[in-house]
Amino acid sequence: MSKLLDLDAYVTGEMADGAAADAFEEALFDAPDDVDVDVLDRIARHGTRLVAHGTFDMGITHEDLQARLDRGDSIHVTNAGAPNGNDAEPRVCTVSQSKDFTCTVFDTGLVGHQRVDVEVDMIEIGASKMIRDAIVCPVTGKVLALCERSLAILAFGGGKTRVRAFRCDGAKDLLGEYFLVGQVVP
Amino acid sequence: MAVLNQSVGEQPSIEALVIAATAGDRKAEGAICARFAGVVRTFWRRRLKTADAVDEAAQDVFVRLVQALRANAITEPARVGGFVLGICRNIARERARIAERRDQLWAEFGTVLAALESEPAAAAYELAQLEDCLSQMTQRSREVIKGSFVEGLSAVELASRLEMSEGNVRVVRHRALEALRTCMTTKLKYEVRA
Repeated sequence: MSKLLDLDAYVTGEMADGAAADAFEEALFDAPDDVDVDVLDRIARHGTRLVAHGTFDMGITHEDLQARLDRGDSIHVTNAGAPNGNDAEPRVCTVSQSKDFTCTVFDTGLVGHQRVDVEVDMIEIGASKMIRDAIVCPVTGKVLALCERSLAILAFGGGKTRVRAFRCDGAKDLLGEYFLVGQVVP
Repeated sequence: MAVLNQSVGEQPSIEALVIAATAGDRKAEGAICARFAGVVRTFWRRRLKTADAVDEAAQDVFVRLVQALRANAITEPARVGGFVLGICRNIARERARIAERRDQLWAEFGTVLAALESEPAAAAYELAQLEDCLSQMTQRSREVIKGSFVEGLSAVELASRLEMSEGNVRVVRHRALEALRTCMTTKLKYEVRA
């Protein structure tokens, strides 16, 4: 069993109190720089912040976005519009350096879908990633990707990007495709 | 910005930091607290449910640690880990009493303990990295991680909430943790140039 799983058992209390837990605790404090301790600590600390920010789960609904704007959350909203996958030139989406969060609105028209997988292909970097189970707003059928500013700036700095939404119920049908480029604004 | 597994090796030993701190180096005090922050919070996460309670208990530990450093009470710098664990265990037994003096102690030692907050740029990077890593997991895995490590729910409680077996919650949690560890110890894909 890896150290991480021992830590998991320790933190969740599944490792019972007693000699084994005491010995594990002593080993922890003898090597406080342990990578696994740091990983679990960051999951808990930063996870708490992400939950409070609405960025732990992937995407929000229009109702949630409006509530956050109404209460004064610092959110930059950028509209990716309808799918434009066949355009020769990428559509510009912006991220603001002065706002805490960026919400990119994809008007995918997917009423009836609860979640989609979103593939992000960073053409100029030569890397791709899959965002799993992103929320589709049940009222508008749009995907509202709320993102921490720091991640948005990194992602939008990747240059021309293809974004494709797929069904995530096993069928993997292509539901919409975008050709975008990020622009960081003050 | 440093990647997690590259950032540890270049640091001075904790023993050297203890020797420096007992000689009056205030920065070393903060560095020692920062090095133990993860394990101290881990200790309290086993015992307390909310993030605020964990942070508060950890601050109590570091107040006592700095007091001990300034009083030259750490006679074996090489065994400072055991000393910190002893503080944790004592505070776990004495939490009611320490709470009464906490504000006063915080006012006295709070400046040093500000080092426990990550540098803003590092914290922002870590936040972005976790968000990016979570995005690549299934919603079920995210729910299990959130329930277990943010909300402090047991496998039994999560099994009921998510309509899964208790054993399945543990399997999902273990796999999700391993995936997060792999993701969080490598660079973000946005940074990896072709």
